Order: sequence, then C-alpha cells, then structure tokens
Amino acid sequence: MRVALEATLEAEPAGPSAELAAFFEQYKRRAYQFAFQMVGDPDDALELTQEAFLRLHRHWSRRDPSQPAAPWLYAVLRNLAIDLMRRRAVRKQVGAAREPEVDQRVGPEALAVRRQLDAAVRRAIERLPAEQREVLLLKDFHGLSYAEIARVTGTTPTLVSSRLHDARERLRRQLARYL
Amino acid sequence: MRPEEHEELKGMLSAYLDQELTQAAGQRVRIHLEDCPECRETLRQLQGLQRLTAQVEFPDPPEEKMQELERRLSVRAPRGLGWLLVSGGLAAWVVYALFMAMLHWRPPTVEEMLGGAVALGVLLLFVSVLRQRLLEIPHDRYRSVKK
Repeated sequence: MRVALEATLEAEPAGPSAELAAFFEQYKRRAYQFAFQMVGDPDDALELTQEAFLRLHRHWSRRDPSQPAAPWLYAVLRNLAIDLMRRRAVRKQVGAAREPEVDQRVGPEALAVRRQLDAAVRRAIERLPAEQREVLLLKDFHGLSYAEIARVTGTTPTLVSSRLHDARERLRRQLARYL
Repeated sequence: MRPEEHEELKGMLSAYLDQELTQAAGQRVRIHLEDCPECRETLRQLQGLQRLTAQVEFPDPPEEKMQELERRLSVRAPRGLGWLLVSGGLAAWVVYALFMAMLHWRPPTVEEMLGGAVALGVLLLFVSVLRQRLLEIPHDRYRSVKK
C-alpha cells in the first residue's frame, strides 16, 4: 500500500506553484546578483528581485513550458533595472556597497593581491559600455547561451557574439598585466 | 594566410571559447590555431580572462528577505482563482436579486434598504478595485516579454 502511495506521489506531476517554488529556489541568488550587477545597490537589487519574481508569478501559468524560464527572468530583471536607472539617471558602481568575501585561510599578502585583482576586474567591467557589460555578465557570470542572451536583450546571437568579442577585447587589453 | 582571414579567425576566438561556433567554423579556427602563435596567445589570454571574471564575487541576497518573498509567492498562488470566484459569484447574486425584485415587486422595508445600502457599498468598492486591476493590465509591459 505504502509502495503504491509513494509510486503515485512520484508519478504526480509538479503543479505550477511547485514549479515556481523550485525555480525560485534555483534562481533567487542569481537573480539578485544580476540585479546587483545591473544597478550596483543591494537595496535596489532586492527590490528588483522581488518585483521580478512577483511578475513571473503573475504570468507563470501562461508561459510556454517547453522554453526555459531563466531568460524570461533575466529579461524582466533587465527591463526593471533599465527603468530604475532611467528614473535615477545615475548608476552606482558595481561592488561599491560591499567588500567581496575572501577565504580567511589565505595569508594577508595573498588576500591583498586578491583584493587588488578583484577591484581591477570590477573596474574594467564597470568601464565597459552598457550593452557590452550586460552580455559579458550574462555569459560569464550567469552561463546563458548566445541564443538565450539574445532573447534577454532583444537582439540576435550574432550581435551577442560581436558585443561579447568587443567586451573581451577591451578587458584583455585593460587586464593584460594579470593575464 | 591573408591578413584579413587571420583577423576574421581571430575575431571568432571568443565564440570558439564559448563553443558557440558551427562545427565547420570551429574546425577552421582549430586548424588556424595550430599554425598561428598569435591567436594561440590570444586564446590563452581569453581563457585567463574568463577565470579572472569568474572569481569576482558578488553579494548573496539576504536570506530572511528571500524567505519572506517565497512566502509572498506561495500566498499569492490561489489569488487568481479567488478573484474569478468572487467576481462570478457577485455578478450572479446581482442578476438573481434584480430578477427576484422584478418578479415580486413591493416597497422595501427599512431593514431591507439598510442591508441593500451596505451590499451596494461593498459592491461599489469591489468594482473599483477590480477596475483598477483591469486598468493596470495594458500598462504591464512585461506581459509581452517572450517566455
């Protein structure tokens, strides 16, 4: 009987709420970090993350289940961030709000080098034009494919490839001494 | 190799690194890399760059705020169905009340008038909230975001 019940429960497809809960659990950290990378402020990032998930929730039942939901989430976050930045007209520096957490087991010298390197990479990313910065972040930090980035940014995979190439070329030149 | 062909292949290294090239284009880059020390060095630097950028840390979301959001999402789950049932139920009651009033018309008592005033007030409040929600729908630009 118990075996039969367990089999039934396992066979039961996850409902929309369960799906969204699983998606939320999987993407809450990445969503917040992308929002933070876009607006550079922890409070704004939190607000955008909350708003994005609430919007997804509102339209969740109408989404195409054959398509991954992640590009949709990133697209909503990106649009919210752009709206916010337009309203504020100033974008804060990414990472200015908080020092990165570093493994305390490493020595003070290595720690200093690591912090210096970290700051240099952040600055270099900061200096990228917005359209290059967003594709770099979506690719190298969030692991989206070119096709997914194209969906998020409303462009084409070819343009994504070109922007990514330009972004990396700039970074390669600026960070040459660390490479 | 012509300089322009070298530049073209060099420009494909970023997509090569991401494994986003077609099989044929990837094969072209692989063959070119065997003979071009400059492109091999560029590719090495691009790989180093990827490692560098991957090491940059960004803050995690505050856990208590995420739990609060999770609760909000689960509380809102049955809201759509709730709106549908309340709207449908109220509409049916209004139709039924009007039908009965027309069928058995007589002057209403004071109790009926007071009850009717309260019911009408609740109905007006409900309609105004419903109207507000319906007006917001066309302005929600994210409805059209491709899912």
